[in-house]
Order: sequence, then C-alpha cells, then structure tokens
Amino acid sequence: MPKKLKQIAIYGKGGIGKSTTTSNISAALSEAGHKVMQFGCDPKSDSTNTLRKGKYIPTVLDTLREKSKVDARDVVYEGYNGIYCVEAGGPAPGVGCAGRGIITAVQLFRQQKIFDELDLDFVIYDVLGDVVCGGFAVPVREGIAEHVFTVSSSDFMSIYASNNLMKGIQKYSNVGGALLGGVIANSINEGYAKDIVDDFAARTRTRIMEYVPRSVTVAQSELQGKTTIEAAPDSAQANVYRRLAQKIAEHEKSAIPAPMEINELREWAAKWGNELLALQAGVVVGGETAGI
Amino acid sequence: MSIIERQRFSCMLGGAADAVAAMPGAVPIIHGAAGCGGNLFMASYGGSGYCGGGRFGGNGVPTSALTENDIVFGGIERLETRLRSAIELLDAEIFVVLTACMTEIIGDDVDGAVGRFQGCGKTVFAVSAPGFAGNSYAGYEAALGGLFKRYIKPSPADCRHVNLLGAVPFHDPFFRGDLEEIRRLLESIGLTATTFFTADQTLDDLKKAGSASLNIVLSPAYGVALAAELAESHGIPYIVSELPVGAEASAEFLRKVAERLGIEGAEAVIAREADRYYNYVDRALDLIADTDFMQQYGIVVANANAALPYARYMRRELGWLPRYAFVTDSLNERQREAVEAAFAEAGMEGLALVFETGTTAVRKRVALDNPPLLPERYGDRLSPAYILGSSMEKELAAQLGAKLLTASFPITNRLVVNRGYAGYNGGLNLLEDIITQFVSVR
Repeated sequence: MPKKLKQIAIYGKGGIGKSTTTSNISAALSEAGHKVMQFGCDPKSDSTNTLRKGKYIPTVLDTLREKSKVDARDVVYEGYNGIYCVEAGGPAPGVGCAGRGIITAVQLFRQQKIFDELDLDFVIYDVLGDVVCGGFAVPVREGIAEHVFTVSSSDFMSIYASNNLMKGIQKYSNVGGALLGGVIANSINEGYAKDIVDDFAARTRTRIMEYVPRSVTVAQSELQGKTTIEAAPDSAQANVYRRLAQKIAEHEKSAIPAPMEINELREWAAKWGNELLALQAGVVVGGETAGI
Repeated sequence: MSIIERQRFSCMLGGAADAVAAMPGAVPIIHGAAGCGGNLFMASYGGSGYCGGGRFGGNGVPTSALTENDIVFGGIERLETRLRSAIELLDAEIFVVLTACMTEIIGDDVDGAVGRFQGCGKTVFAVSAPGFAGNSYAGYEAALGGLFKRYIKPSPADCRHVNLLGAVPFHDPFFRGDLEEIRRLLESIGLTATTFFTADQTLDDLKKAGSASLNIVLSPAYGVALAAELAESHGIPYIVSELPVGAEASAEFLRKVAERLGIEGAEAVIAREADRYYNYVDRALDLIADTDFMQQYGIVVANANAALPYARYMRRELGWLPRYAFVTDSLNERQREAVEAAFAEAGMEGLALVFETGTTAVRKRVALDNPPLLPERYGDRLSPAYILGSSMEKELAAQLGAKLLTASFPITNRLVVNRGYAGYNGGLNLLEDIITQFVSVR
C-alpha cells in the first residue's frame, strides 16, 4: 500500500517567524527519517534560505517568466539533509498579481505529479501573512493541504492575521478545504504572552501546538544560514522544534475554527490591553477599579 | 421566480470599444485577455443590424491578448509592444487604450505606460473600462469623456456650433442615420454640429466640439452625466432632449434648440419640412386608409433612448394606441427618474411605462394584463397589436398574433447601414418600415 502524503500549510503574519519555524519543522521531520518538501509561497522567496546555507534558489515563477513551459523538476533544489526546497516566487513589488502567481506555481506541481514521483511523506507550504486574496488561500482550498497551522506571537497584529486565516479556513471548510490543526505560539517568553495566546486559542476553539520561546540561538543559527536543528542540534531550542515536529507528524484530526468577528476581536484585544496596562502598573487584581 | 436571460447590453469595455471604433481616426486598443474584443464584437455587431466594426473596430481591434504570465507579472510590457506596433502600422491619429477586467484587478499602471508614448506625434490615452464597473452604456460615456479630457480642448465658444451626445453607437442601431438627420435639421436653422460617430466626421469635427456653445443630449439617461461634467470642464452648457422621431417631435426639437440659442427663422424651416413630410404621408394614406390595419394597440420594447420617441410616434404620427413602453436597460435611480419624468411630461395616458430587463418578464406582464379568454368581440383585448421592439420580441409577437418591427437592440433580422428613424426623414422611414410589415406577405 502506498504511504499517505501529508500536506501541511503554515500561515502567519509577515516577520512573525513563520519561515524559521517551518524550516526547523522540515529539518526535524527530515532528521526523523521522513522525506520532506518545503514549498515557499511568498514573493519574497526566502522561505527555504536556512535549509540552503542562506542561499536563494531560482523560483518557479522566475523560470516561468523566462520560458513558457517549465519542468517542475528543474525548480526543486535539495537542501539540508535531502529536504526538497521550492520557492513559488512572484512578480516585482507593485506589479502583476502575486496571488495568481501562487496559484500558477502550485498548479504546475500538481499537474506534473511531482509529489508522487518524489515519494514524499510531507509537503509543507510556507505561506505569506494575511489571506489577502484568493491566490493566498490556494493551499487551503481544493484539498491541497489537509492541515493548516498558524504561527502567532501574542502581538495583536499577529493574532489579527491568524484570525483572518481562520476566516478563510472556515469559508472553505464545507467544500473540502483544509482544516485548522492549531496555533504555533511563537516568541512566548513572558507569562502574559502565554495567557494571551491561550485565551485566543480558547476563544477560537483551537489549540496551541507548542510554545516556542524567543531564543538567541535561533538568531545565531540564521546568521550562519542554517536552521537551529542544523546549527545547534543539542540546544534546548532545537528540542522544542523537534517536539513540535513530532506533534505535527502525529497530528491526525484538524477542525473548523471559530474566528472572532472584527468587533469581538477588537473588544477582546482592548480587554487584554487593559490587563497588560494593569500588570505594568503593578496592579495585580481589580486594575479597572484602581483608577488607571 | 426569475429566469436568467440574455441582457440587451454588453459590458463597459464593449461600449467603450464600440464608441472609439465609431470615431474618426481613432483606434481602440483593448488591454486584457484574448477573447474580450472578439466576444464583445459578436454582441454589438450581431445585435445592431450588422452595423459593422469599421477599419479599427470589431474583430480588427488590437488587443494586448494577455495570458497567464502577463497576469502574474503584469501586462504592461505586452501593452507597450502592442501599442508601439499599432501606432506604427495603423493609419490613425488617436489611440485609446481600454483596460479590461483583469488588468484593472491586477492594477497595471496603464497611465504610466501611455505616458511613455507622449511625444510620438499621435494622441495616446487610456480609459478605464473594466466590465465589472458598468454596462456598455457606461462604456460609451467613459470613452467620449476620455476624448474630451485628452483630445478636445476647451476653446472660445462658437455660438453656431453644437455637439450631439446621448446616441450610443450600436446599442442605438440607427445611430448613424439618426445623427445625420439631426445634424441636417440643425444645419437648416443655421447651426453646425459635431456628431462624433457618423462617416463624415473628421478630426477637425472632433476638435471643434471644444468650441460648442451647447451640448444637446438626445437621451434622458445616457450622456447626461457627461454633459454635466463638460459644463464644468469645457464650459459648455447642455440641454436634454428626446430623440425627435416624426414631424411633431422634430418641430418641437427645432423650437427648443432655436429658443435656447436665440435663433430666428426656425418656424419657416419647420413649415417647409412639415409640408414635405405630410405630402408624402398623404400619399401613403391611400394604402393605410384603404385597408383594415388602420388602428393598432402599440407595444414598445426598447432602451431608454428610443422607448418614448417610438411610443409618441405611434400615438401622434400614426394615431395608434400605445399601451406599453418597456424600458429594457438596467438604470440607476437618477436615470430611471429622468425617464419617468420624460414620459410624464409627454402625457402618455393609457400607456404603462415598465422598467423590465427580462424578455420573458415582458411577455409575462403582457399576458397577465390581457387574459386570452376574454370574449373577442366586446372585450378589451390587446388586438390588433403592433410591437416596436427587438428581435427578442418574436415570441411576444407570436403570443399576441402581433406584427413586429425590429427597431431596438438587438436587431438580427435586418441589415442597418445608415437608416435612421429620427427627424422628418426618419419619421418617413419608420412609416415605411411599419406599414411594409403589413404588405410584405402579399
């Protein structure tokens, strides 16, 4: 019986650590013996850099721009520990349609059945920020990825992006779209940060896959053009990523999230804003009545 | 329950392309996917009595014919290539880039691109015409508005020159004949007129539009907003007039224009034209009065421009009983109110003005109002009935056992070259065509 390919999409606000997290998950899965492809879906096309010693690879769309017919094999590059790296790429900033670019790139791979040919265990799509248009929802739609994870810190804007993603998932959930696996809580060091993401997960009826602390090891590894798994395999941070990767590998059942409506989200954020202010002012309980 | 039916207009791009192609020395260039231009031409050409696209219209419209890569990376390069070759190969002066849906969605910087062609010795400009932004009538206004903005400079007013707005190429299938006749009438009272779209127009006629002392809008709905803009930008005042069809309406039209511009001598012209007109009508009466098709119930199914003129013609020139005027356009509130006001002013008692875009709904309305089982002899049956409508009214005609003259878009059973129904000559044409339906079976 052929093994089942598991396709996963990881979304999150730009700069939140999505590519760092994705690359470390890929590296950890590969280390555990799985065959992995990481598919960067961001016009910046730097998703797989830390799997390739900091080097950029030619993108699917760069290649398509030059010749009308592209063999998908020509745009797959091997990275750390045999991980297959692909970058969808995109048009120059301010020109054309990046969303359509993602659709084009993903379709090219599906049509040419590359995933079967490479006998993969995992394809991980690393997708740009907000689901701003239909193109960026492609990995969620049409049964491409089965499970979606969102990377979020406790920042309001990051949570806003995750909430938007959940709206996209909810929209496509009744037509065979991907479901939400959970939230990967990133840069969680302070206690309140954990409380915020926990509360967000509870409100949206999802769960936290892992709490990933902010760590200087990650920055040091990235400066070398490597994942933490590769550069600091014995570090505590590497073990956090391994634990996360294992949970993702074992993850079977995703669900339809319950995103907050915009007013609800604002009120929720305002409530947390007040509590944080109270915390800063040293008021432990009853902050609202203490005249702050 | 509503039924999905073919509409009687195409999209903004279609209307804009038709308008530009009908202007002298102007080339529309569609910036969009391959297919837009061809498909839209089939609609306008097929529905306008095969009016034809002309040298740079129809299937001859240059297009950037974008494919997937152009959408992903932007289509400006292809547009520039196409524009460069169009300017090199086509003997024209004005090149109008029309943006289609997808180039508007991806936000191509078309103004930037046409800006790079300034100084090439030709007039090159862009008009935003995405199909999602409106229908062909909006496209007509956008194209003509673009021409005024980019080509026609405001000039000192010539008190004897006027412009004709509101007649929409192809969607008013008789626009050429109508505009030629209206201009003839205006010339007979000492005016000159820019029609924009007739075969005789030159670039000088277009330029002269900037010095007009009056814009005459021959439509309650279309060109009115543009005329209001031109009053600001070019200082040209405007009047809105019904398209005059037949002697009475033409006389009113001439009086209205003459009064507005302080022209004397219009009455002599009106008397002369009326003499000639009724001399011919008299002779036709030998046929009309001698046979049993004297008085008919009238049904008009037409766009906002033609509905009232046709209904009035039936009543005032033929002495018939127009019962319905179905206006088949999709109108905004302002346009709808203007059409209602025009009908109210015309005092059409006994006539129901109905705004209805669906062909089946038109039939249903007539059927519900007129149960077929009423006793024929003493009941108030809608018979004999005569329809001035489009080719889509064939079934309505069969339902009522009525005659049908195709006189509104879409017309597929006639070739329309320069026939017109406006003015005195148009009124005679309409008489000929209406009565011919009765005798054509002999």
